This record gives sequence, structure tokens and C-alpha cells, in this order.
Amino acid sequence: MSYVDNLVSMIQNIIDMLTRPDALFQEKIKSEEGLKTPFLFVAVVGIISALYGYMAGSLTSRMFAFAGAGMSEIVAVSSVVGAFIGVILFWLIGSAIFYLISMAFKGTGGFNRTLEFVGYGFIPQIFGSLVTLIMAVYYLPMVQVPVVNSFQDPGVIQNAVSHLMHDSAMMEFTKVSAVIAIIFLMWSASIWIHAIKYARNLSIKNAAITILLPVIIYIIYTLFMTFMGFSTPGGY
Amino acid sequence: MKTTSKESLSYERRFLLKISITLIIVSSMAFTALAAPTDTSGSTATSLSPAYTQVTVSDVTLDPRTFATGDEGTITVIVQNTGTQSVTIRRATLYDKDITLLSSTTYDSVGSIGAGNQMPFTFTVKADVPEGIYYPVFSLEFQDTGFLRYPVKLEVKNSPVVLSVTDKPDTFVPGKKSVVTLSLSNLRTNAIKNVIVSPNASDIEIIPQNIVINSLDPGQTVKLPFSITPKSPTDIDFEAVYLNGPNTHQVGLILPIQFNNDKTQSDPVISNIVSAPDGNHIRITGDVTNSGLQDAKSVTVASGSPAIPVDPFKVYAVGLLKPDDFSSFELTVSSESPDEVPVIVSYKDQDGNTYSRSTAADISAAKTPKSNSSLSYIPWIIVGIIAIIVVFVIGYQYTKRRKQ
Repeated sequence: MSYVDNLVSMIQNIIDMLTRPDALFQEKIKSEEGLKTPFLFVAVVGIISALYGYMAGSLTSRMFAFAGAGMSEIVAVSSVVGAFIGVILFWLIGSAIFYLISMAFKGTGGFNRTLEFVGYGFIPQIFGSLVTLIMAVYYLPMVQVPVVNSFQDPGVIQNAVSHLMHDSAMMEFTKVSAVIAIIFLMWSASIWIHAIKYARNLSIKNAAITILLPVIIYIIYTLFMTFMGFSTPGGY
Repeated sequence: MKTTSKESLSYERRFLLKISITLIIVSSMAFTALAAPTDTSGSTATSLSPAYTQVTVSDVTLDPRTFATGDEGTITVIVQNTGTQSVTIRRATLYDKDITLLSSTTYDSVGSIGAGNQMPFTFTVKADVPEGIYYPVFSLEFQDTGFLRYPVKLEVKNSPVVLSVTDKPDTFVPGKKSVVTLSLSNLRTNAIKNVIVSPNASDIEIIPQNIVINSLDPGQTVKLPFSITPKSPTDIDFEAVYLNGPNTHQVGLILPIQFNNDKTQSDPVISNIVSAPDGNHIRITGDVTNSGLQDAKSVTVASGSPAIPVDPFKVYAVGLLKPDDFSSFELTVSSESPDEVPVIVSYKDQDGNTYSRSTAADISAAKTPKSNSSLSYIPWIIVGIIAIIVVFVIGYQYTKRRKQ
């Protein structure tokens, strides 16, 4: 019964976090700090992202099919691990950025509390990752992957990567996934405003500035890179 | 009477003595005439003079040494006076019923040949006779009396000089240098001189243009290598011209040049052709394999007209392809190119001759619009719905907060 109660409680917490985060953080600030539950949310996002990373990595494996045995496994493992660790780093770095900006507003409260509350804000990212994964299942099989025959010339590899990223299905998927990421990032941002407000004891205005400043910069950068141009390492 | 008798007896004795002496002289002369020796050169001394008997033929030279039917030549007879007195020669000549004497200069008034001296007599003859051995007679008449006759051996033989092919490639390939080796054999019994072997043909490069041999001894064979680079099918007329004495002869050989595929030549084959969209262009990839038995050098792969090649791979340079070796290639063409484009592989052989082969590549699949184009709105519709839901949720949050 306790597991069922916990599950019901968690679902209720999630619904509350998505619909009335201000009230929820107002209650949680009174409780003890705990990173276990936020880490769970972040980990779920990381696992879904790892699945997506595996699919994207399979494209790269096909591109380097002539590299010999073992190359596809290396690419798959690095894609999965990279996607998972990337989400964790995003959580840590994002929290640190919010923490640092809130210092300008003389915010109080520890980093762990900031990390905890920001972790709750990753709940919308779970849905966002799922939608992105569904879109990847839809789009990625349509991508025509170029095969790299020569591994001596870096220009050939760069050219192949550029061909992959300029594939029409790949470009469509990139745009769709970017818009989805932005939508759910804004949803997370709306939660993070309340999170940082209580975690750092800020006014709603200062909390909004603390969150929206880096988020808007990130969104502008993402939109620019997605719709105005795409760059691969080394340029093209 | 006694006196008369004595005188009569003396007269008879003197008469008998005279007769005896005369008989002795006559019989000696007759014996001498019957016992006169024959000259080694075939002359017969009709005089008792030893000077004439000492004139002999010391050497005979024929040029050519062996005649062919119809050949002209010279016969030189050298006469030597081995005696101690000079001998006057009135006339020298050569005659035979078959061998024709062509000499315009005659030896009707020769003069004297001093003691120990030699004198040559040269006659121009024509052997317009069948094969065989002939003996034209050299005749030397002396001033006072006597003559010298000497039959000269003259051989007429039509043994050939043979020109033949001893080595040539199995096939000739246009523009490819090949070596053809001829052999020239002298089956005659005398040496031939100033041999010139020259090929005659058009639209073909032959090195050397001719080969000169100063002298070819009897039974000798020489190899004659010619480098031949044909451009079109033709016949090469090889001709060997030589001198047999002063006579020019020739022997010919026709070598037909017909083109066929070299069974060992390099043979690059294009396979595994795949076309795919490459941005606004089309990328063609494939393999080129040398299935021949010789190296294919300077191998390049390019798209031919009516394809429109574009960067970065207008041409793909492969380089050297050894037999049974292969290389991948990559080409980029404009999407404006037709559905079927020629992929041309060019290569060179050992001599630098360039060859090319074309293989059709179907790129229609790479030009076909993606089937998902009509479905691409669905994800955006979903994204729009999600955006509306998120906006609604965020708005709900703030509405809830204000109420609180």
C-alpha cells in the first residue's frame, strides 16, 4: 500500500508542479532539502534523451559503416552516455547559472535547494523528451545517410556530416525538435521562476529576470542556429 | 779407180751420215713435239720457247661469287709471267655459248707482260641462264705463236634470302606500341651486301624506319626488331633490298595489322553504383575494379555529358589500380542532370595510351521527391497543439497564483 500511496502522491506532486508550482514550492521550502526526487525526474529525462541519442547515433554508425567492426558500438555507447550525461550537466550548469544570477539580487538560500527546485522544473522536459523521441521515430528512418569511404581526409568526413545535416528529413526534424525543446523549455522556465523565487528568496520579478535572461538567450541562440543557419565543426 | 772407188765410198758415207743426222733431228723434233708437257692452266705449248710456257693463270675472281639467274657480274683473271723473259700477248678474250659477254672494252692489243709480273683481265658477263655450273673459257693468245686457255668455273644458283616474322604480339591494339621481330636469313652460298630492310605502311608509326646490314654471310641470320604503334588496321609491307655483286635484289613480307582486344590489358569495371541527394545536388558513389591482367594507370572517374558535374567531385582521381584491385569513387552532379548519366572511367596503359569506358548510372531515385513531403505538416500540427497546451498550462499557473 505504501508504494501505491507514494505513486499517487508523486503523480499528485507532478500535477501540482505543472499547474500550481508556486503553491507547491511554498510548501516544499518548509521541508528538508532532498535531491533524490528531483534527480529521479532529471534521470528520466536523461534516459529518454539517451534513447533518442541511440537513434541519432545509429545514423552516425551508418555513415561510418566502412570504418570496420566496433565503430557502430562505439558510436552507440558514446551517444547514449553523452545524452544522459548531457541532461545531468544541463541540470547542474543551469542551476549554477540561476544561482549566480540570483546573487545579483541578493538572493539567499543554498545551492542544494536551488538544485532541488530546478530539478522539479525538469518535469515538463519529460514530456518534451517523449515528444522529441516520437518525432525521431517518425523522421530519422527517412534520413538518407551518406557513407564515408575515406577516413584519411577530414574534409571528406566534414562533407559527409554536412550532407547528413542538410538532408531534408533531418533538417525538418531539427526544426521540429528545436521548437518542441523551446516550448517545453518555456514551460520549465515558468516553473523555475517559482522555484528560484523560493529557493533564493527573491521577488517574483527578480526571479523572472533570473530565469528568463539565460533562457531567452538560449532560445534566441537555438532559433538562430536552427532557422538562420547550421554550422558543423570546421564550417561549411 | 781406187781413187774413184774411195771417193765414191766417202760420198755414200757422207750421204748416209746426213740422212742419219736428219732422221735423228726429225725424230727428236717429233719426240719433242709428242712429249711436250700440258700447262696447268690448260694451255698447250706449241713452241719450244720456254718464255710462253711460263705464263700461267695465277688467280680468278668472280663478283658475285655465285650468280643468280639474270645476274650480271665480273670475272677477273690474273695472269702471271713466272719466267725470266717478257712475253708479248696479242689478245685476251672470254667466251662461252651460254654466258653472255657484256664487256665493251676488249683486250685485242694487250702488250707485253714482264718477267715476274702479273696482268689482270676483267670481263663483264651476264648469267641469263638456268641454275647450274658453267665454264666460260679464258683464252690468251701470244704474239708469236701459242695460246693459253683456262676454263673458269661459274656457278648460277637461285638460293633465296628469306625474310620472316619470328615474334609479334598476339593482338594489336590501336595506339599501343608493340614489338615485331623479323629475321633475315641468307641461304645463298655467297655473302650479300648493303642489306636495307624497310617497312612501308601508312597511318602507322614504326621505329626504326629502316635497318641497314653491311654484309650478311652465307647461312647467317639476323634479328630485326621493329616497334610498331598502329592507329588503324593496315598492312605493313616489309622489304629487304640487298646486293648480290652489283645486282640489286629484293625480298618482301606483308604483315597484316588487325585490331583485337588485348587479352591481358587492364579492364576497369564500374559497379556498386549508388546515387543519393546531396543538398541541392546528387551524389554518385561506386567502386571501380581492375579485372584485367595489367596495371591501369592514372585512373579517373567522371560523369559525362549530358550530366552536369558540380563541385566538390566533378572528377574523382583514383590513380594506379593493380590487377584485381579496386577503389571507391564519388561524383557530384547537378540535380538538373537527366535520370540516366554516363559514368566514365579513364585510364592509361604502360605506353601512356588513354582508354575510357562508360557505364550508365540511374540517378532517378535520388531525384524523386521524398514521400514524406505531404506528411510533414502533421508533426507541425502536433507541435502547435502542444504549444497551445503549454501556453494554456502556463496561463493556468499564473491565474491560479493570482487567485491565491
